[in-house]
Amino acid sequence: METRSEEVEPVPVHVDKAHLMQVMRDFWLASATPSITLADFCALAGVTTEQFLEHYADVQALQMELVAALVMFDLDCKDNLGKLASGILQRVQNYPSNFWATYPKEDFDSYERNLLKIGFAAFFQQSAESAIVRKIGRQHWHGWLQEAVQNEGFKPDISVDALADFQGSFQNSVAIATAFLGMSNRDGATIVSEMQLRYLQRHLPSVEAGSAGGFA
Amino acid sequence: MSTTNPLQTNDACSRIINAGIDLLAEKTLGEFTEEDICRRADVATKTFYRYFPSKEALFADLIRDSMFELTGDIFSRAEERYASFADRLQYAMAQIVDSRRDYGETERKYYRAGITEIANSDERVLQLYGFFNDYFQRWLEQGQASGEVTKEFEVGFMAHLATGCLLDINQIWMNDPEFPHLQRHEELAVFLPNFFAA
Repeated sequence: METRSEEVEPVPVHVDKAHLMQVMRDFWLASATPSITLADFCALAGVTTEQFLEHYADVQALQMELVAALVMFDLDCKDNLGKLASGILQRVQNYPSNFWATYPKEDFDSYERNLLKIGFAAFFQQSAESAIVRKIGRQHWHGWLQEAVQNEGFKPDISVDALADFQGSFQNSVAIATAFLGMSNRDGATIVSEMQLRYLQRHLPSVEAGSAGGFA
Repeated sequence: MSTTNPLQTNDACSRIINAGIDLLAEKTLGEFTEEDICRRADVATKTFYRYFPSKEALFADLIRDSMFELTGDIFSRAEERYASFADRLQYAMAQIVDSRRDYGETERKYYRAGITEIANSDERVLQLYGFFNDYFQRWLEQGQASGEVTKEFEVGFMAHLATGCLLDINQIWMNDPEFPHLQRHEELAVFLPNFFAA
């Protein structure tokens, strides 16, 4: 790692957020755990604590910014799908392929797995960011399901609110399996999508088998 | 599942636990220290650290034990009384709802404090996760054998999703006191059997 240093350098010429984020990325690629102390991180980045604190309140703040990038990528994908596809079946069916078509890598590596661990811990720890992320993520599902009720004759066996929560939970489950159990994120997302389609088709009586494919 | 916590039979440890719960009812976790707990429990600080590495670990042990004992009993009874996945789940969720009907802000804070510590340890996360996952996996396997549950998908993955939903209800409630966690448990009992139906 180019920036790695055993000791804190006196004063680097220039320290910016991009440098700190890159060092954290490199650390996570090489590490099984996302945890690192501020002192250790500063040593790794070759910056003083004061220089770090000019940009972030603590290590967790930096890590949450990285997590947000991954989440926003996912949300962008859903937004994109909302514009490209019409009908809940098409959106659900095309979600995994749409995500992976635009994702830069074949599957998640140790960097993304550590991102998910941090996101998971933040979710448990009540961070404002994680609460917002949950609400935003749920909004997509809620909107899609509500549209299906109003426009497609979708008749779920429980409330749309609960369904949106459970669909969000499924995505969390895939993230947990990816982060902690080493499952392929791609495989998990694809299987969940297939199961969701199966459930939706059962509650969309007008849908004929095989009509769910393709973008509108 | 009956897990015997040897600490609970110890008077000093019981006082530490009760003092911690009392303080958490009065303040947030960040507003009191291990020393405050010791003063309230009338024990030496070194006695506290003999049992728990931190106040967070105290609550993590408490929540883990209460989940394993209380929920474990409920899940075991469901398994003994009913054969189908749907019936077992419906019974278990109804029992959980009954046991949590009176939960308020104190319980929410107490769970939150413990679960935060659990979330910081891969080992604890997997232990908690695996506990519920083992039940669901067994129930779904039996459901597949009887024709109740679809064989289209791997049972381990389905169990994983069920566990995620159940734990998520608690996590969201810890984040949001307005979240209708009792209603969600009831809805989960309706939803999952249909979601996994053959």
